Amino acid sequence: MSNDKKITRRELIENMKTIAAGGALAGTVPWISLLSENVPAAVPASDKVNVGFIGTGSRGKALIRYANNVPAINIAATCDNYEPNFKRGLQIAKGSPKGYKDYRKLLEDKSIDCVIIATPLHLHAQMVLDAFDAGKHVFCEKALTKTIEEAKQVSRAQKKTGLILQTGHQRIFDIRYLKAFEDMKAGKLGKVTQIRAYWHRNGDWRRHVPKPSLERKINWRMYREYSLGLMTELASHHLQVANWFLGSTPEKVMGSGSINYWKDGREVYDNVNVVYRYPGGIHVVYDSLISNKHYGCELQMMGDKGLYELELGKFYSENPPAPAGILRLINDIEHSIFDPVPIAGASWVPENASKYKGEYIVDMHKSRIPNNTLLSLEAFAETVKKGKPVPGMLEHGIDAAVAVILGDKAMVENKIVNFSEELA
Amino acid sequence: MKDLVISAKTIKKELLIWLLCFLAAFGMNVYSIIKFDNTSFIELITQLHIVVILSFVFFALLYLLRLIFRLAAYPFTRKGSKQ
Repeated sequence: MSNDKKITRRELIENMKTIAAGGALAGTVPWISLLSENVPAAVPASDKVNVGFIGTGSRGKALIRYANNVPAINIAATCDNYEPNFKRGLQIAKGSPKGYKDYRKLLEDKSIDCVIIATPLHLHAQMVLDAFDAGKHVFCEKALTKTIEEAKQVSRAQKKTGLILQTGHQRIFDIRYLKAFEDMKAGKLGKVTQIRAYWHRNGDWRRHVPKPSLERKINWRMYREYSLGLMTELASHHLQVANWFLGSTPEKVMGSGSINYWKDGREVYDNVNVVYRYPGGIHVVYDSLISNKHYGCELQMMGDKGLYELELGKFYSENPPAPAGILRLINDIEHSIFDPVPIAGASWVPENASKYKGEYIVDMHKSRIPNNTLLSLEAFAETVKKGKPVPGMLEHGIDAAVAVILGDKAMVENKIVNFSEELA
Repeated sequence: MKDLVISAKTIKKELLIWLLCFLAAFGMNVYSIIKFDNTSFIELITQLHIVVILSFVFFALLYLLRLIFRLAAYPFTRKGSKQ
């Protein structure tokens, strides 16, 4: 395991170079080119970047554990204003980071090069803006912002300061997604007409609250003041992938949301269905619920030549390799003997799901595929070292945030929301 | 316990029957390659295991038929032997 972690950086560059050699990626996923090219470094290659963690709750702690394994990162400080998280963050971070309870104090620390923000959604925008004011590069968990106005402010601030802003959309660093993207650009899927994505869980989505006064602080995802629920906390990932693969943002969105299972005082939907329309009439159909987990999480991208199931990392051709002739002959004989007489005409073919099991997009054992969150932190540290934002990285975060915010608006206001009107 | 003796003639006869079964299965493979699209004559080699299995299935079916035929013919052959 430790060997795997040591080679991830090398694997990242080597795998990416191999894939980028195909051509399509170099132009459309610029972070690959930036990582492999020799840009004069702002921080010497031998040095680590000093990172401050703002927010050490469940996601923050997970990111600290990943960061512990990134050679280019030194965790210089952690910050949380909730005592158990504050202690736990300091405990699990490697080295001897300083502890802060106020993020503004952390931002005053001149030794810190960049911050990783993993706080409740409603705090993201202000923290990003404050970090930019303090001259720090930022990695912020998704969704990047809670409102359109915040998204505009953050976008303006990044462009003004020229500092790095990366959002926690780790799929853009996943070798399977990158290969799929390249293959799609080369025409493997044919004409893409629809993306169907879903994220299903079965659970109340609540965290343990030691005393009632902490309910809103700990279960912030349940309340509209702090979060837009399933849209900002889950859908953001799939909307980022849709925007990336389709090379565009949606034109409009319609949808329906409800609280129809977990009627426990929460304010955010526990059951959402939204349809985004992209240029060319492409639809992204997304649904999420937390009362049934049978189908789990998947993003199915459909073209007239094939289909991706990107969470599984699989490709299904519309014309799969035919079985051997002898097997088809045996099958025909078997059907002619044992099948009941069909009630429809001879031309009728049942349109059940294909039983074709597809093929893996990246022919590599699962254990060898580098972890995408680890890679996203590797990439962040490298870009901070080079001191140069990756073109397009800001837009990945902003566009995904805008898509989920307007998806929620369509459900709340029960109307078709037009992106160009909202963003004017 | 009485030894079972299988004569060389019987072995030869059974082997010949299996060979016919194999040829029938092989013929089916040739037919299927010609009949279906997206097939190749390389399947004559790659699908040989299926052909061998199929030949044993034919042999077993044929053996069953022969057994039924023998059982059905048994009363007549016994009556004939008494006369």
